[in-house]
Amino acid sequence: MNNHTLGYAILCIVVPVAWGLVVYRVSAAIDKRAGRQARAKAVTVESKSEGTVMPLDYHI
Amino acid sequence: MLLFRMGAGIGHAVSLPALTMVGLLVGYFAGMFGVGGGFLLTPVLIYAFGVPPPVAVGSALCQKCGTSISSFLKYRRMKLGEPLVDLVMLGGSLTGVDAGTRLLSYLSGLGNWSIGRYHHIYAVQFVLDVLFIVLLSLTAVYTFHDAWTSRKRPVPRGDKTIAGPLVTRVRIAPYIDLPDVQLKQVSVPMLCYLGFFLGMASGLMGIGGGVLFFPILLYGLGLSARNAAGTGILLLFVTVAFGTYEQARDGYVSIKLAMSILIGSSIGAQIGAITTHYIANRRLRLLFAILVAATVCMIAWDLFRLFR
Repeated sequence: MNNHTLGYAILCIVVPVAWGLVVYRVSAAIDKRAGRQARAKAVTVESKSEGTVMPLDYHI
Repeated sequence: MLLFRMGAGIGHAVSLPALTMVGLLVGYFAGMFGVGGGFLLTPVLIYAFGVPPPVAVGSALCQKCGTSISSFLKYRRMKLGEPLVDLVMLGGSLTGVDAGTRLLSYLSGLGNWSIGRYHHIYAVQFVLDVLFIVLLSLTAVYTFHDAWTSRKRPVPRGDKTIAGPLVTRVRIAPYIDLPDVQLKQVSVPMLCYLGFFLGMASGLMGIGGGVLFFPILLYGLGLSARNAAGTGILLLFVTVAFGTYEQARDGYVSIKLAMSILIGSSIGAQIGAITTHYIANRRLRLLFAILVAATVCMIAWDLFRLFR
């Protein structure tokens, strides 16, 4: 096998893996944000029942 | 419209936006049904885009390097699945990929087969067509049957781990316990042979295992659906990476083709995953069976045209 073929074979693995890692990071950030919003909503609803509206981010 | 030459032996230019749209669609179904989408991607590349079968297989494997690494990290974060299964099956799987790639190269070298007086069929395409039809028909029938009969069950299969026939009936020593998925005394040789079979399917047909491995884990080993989805993804990543390396070495991978699809499928998978929140599990399985059956019809029609 010559170096060009070996380099191309490695590139064919490295490039999609790098893209996959980027997608994972973005997806994790979206999930985290959705989770934070859901918790904030839950606290807001709970606070409303006590007569005050206070989002979770306020406590943080 | 934005036609590009993809290299790797694809003799004609291919539309880049059309490829990304196909990736989006395949990613959507993959995200919705929790499979890799290889069973759909390889036939679509061959029949809709006229990509030579070995290049379609190689590029589909290359694309899966990206999807499998992000899935693996996601499931590890959620602590689902059993990594021991991946480690035990790894040796068999890598050997299987090598065997599958060699078989694909051999079939490509056979050229055309003459059937009857006038029919000349590209040998590798004929073999792949037949294999796809057999494997996908089995998957479609089994999934449809299970989803249909699950109406009557009080506890749907897949909600919890119940040792399946591959655990209770295959008794070949030595054995291994899988504590993360609550299974005991699972035959190690059985897992190794299973790895070989799945690896060979990857190397030969470019399918990652979602359409084969997931049903085996669910119905064969009896894992819960959540644990089955998280098991084997490390194995899948290593298998497709090794398969990509071997196919690229033989000149069967177009990285431009693979990346065009990967970009579309990454977005499609996110949309597909959101859709699952709105459709019941049993209906999802019925839809999956219909999609697989439609793919079988597409391949069978193509095979029929070759003989006409």
